[in-house]
Amino acid sequence: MTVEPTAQGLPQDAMARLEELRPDKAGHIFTSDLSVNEFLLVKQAGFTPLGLVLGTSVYHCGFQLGRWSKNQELDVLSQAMYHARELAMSRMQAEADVLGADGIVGVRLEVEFKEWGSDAAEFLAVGTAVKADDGRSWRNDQGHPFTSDLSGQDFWTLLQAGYAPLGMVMGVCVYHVAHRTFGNILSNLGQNTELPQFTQALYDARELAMARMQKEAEALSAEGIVGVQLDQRNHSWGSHTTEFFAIGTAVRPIRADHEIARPQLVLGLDR
Amino acid sequence: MTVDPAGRAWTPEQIAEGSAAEIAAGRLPLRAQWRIAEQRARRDRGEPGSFTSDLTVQEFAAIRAVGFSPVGQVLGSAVYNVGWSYTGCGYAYGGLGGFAGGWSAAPVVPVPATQQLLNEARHRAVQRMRQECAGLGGDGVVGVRLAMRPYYGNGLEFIAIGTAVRADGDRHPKRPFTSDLTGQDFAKLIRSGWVPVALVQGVGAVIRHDDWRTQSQQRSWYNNEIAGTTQLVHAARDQARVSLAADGRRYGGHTVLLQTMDLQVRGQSCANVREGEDHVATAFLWGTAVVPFRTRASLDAPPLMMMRL
Repeated sequence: MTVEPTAQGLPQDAMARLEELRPDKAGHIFTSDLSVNEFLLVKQAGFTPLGLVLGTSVYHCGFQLGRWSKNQELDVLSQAMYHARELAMSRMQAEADVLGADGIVGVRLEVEFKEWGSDAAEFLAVGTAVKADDGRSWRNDQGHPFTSDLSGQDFWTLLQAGYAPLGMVMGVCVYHVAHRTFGNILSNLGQNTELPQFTQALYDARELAMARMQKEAEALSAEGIVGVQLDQRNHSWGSHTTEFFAIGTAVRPIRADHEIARPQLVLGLDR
Repeated sequence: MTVDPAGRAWTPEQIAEGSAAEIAAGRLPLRAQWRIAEQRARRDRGEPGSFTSDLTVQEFAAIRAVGFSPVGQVLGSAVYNVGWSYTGCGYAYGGLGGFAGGWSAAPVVPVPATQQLLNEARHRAVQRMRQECAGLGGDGVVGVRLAMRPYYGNGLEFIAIGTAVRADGDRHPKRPFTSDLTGQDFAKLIRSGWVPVALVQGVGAVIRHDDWRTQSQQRSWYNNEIAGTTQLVHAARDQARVSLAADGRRYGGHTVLLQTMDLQVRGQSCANVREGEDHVATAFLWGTAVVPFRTRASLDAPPLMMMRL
């Protein structure tokens, strides 16, 4: 930085503002779930945070038995995980709609098993609703505010590169991995060998989750998906039943040029 | 025997007694007063080693770079007794059913006593920290770490620790600001034309009886939402959000940057219905209220894209 802001009275200006604060003044106050970096970058990108939006659903997962020796998707549980997240997300979006937001950034989707029994979990979607300062509409082609699980930093970078987020897309697959038969265990005893049954199960489950996520992106007529996270969690189902969860942000181009500024190399002195 | 800065000698018992009286009168305990007075006097005399801080070197550098300097570490604490704050779940034995509580739907009931207690305890701790800051001649506190921990029996301690800072130049606010931002975040905010105002808190506490519908939804063989519990959790969070906005407005804030979001849920046996159960949800939101300010200083530095090595 060439000009030294302290020499121009930056701290005094800040303190003067505090001096003239009028507490208890009527008016709206915005809440955001953003860190300082994210807040400043979202502002810099031309958006104003409108408020914290959230949606929640406490959901009871039904019952389904996986056959002991069969690889199979547990579609009842898949549906439960899907439906509960959809409920939470749509409630969050409804809140953003009421605020007149163009979109929601920094969305977090959380699942927490709490005090109310082992089959029930709280599904929570939280994010910060934002509105564009230029007055253009940034909503997706279904007229809903866009959603994105990108951090404020990634959001800024995405816009710089000429892309806009359309919506969060996800795919879920709860899969029961077969137990090995006794004969199988015996025949492989002491050998380094692939277990094709297990490979197939995990492969299949991930492919299903990713294919579903892709379908959602196609429905939004997206050009692609960025920032995909592929997670697996056992929740409370034991080691052979696993949820495979794929989530990312579907994006569309806003400009023809996709030029990212040349990054500067930095040697960090911090650890 | 301890000798205070004014030269008077105190026995430990006298200090304990005197401190309790000072706290009751809304002032800081004696040892805190002396520490602050001594540190202040040393700074005024321009002696070296006159400030303490728990800032990292980077935080220190960042704060100095925007024209603030640390004046000392400050602390505020308040221990509260969590008394009999019971509010019934508002559910009466309704109707003819043989179930505990009959067939009617249970309402979500706020627990104002809990909400008030948590707000008050927290504000006291922060206010004491601010008093220490004012005593040191600071303009605000950065890097505040807040903790709430159970203390012996029914006690609950709120504690706030941070570093008081002072702005270069001759403008100083009447009331010190507080913020849980790190030194780096503070510096970034100031450089971008925003200044922290105060720590703000939102608390929501609600209770709801597990009515027959909730119970049957919990035991179902099928996928379904537990509607009543969703309502409970949402009400707690929503109340916290409303109280956060009210808190922010009280300090004249413009935007709140959230730091912590927490929800605690516990079950307890119901006092209204025999063998019934209630669930209590408590939601917390902690953050810092900030306001933009006008300045002649040049702030228009666009972010640099960097690739770390």
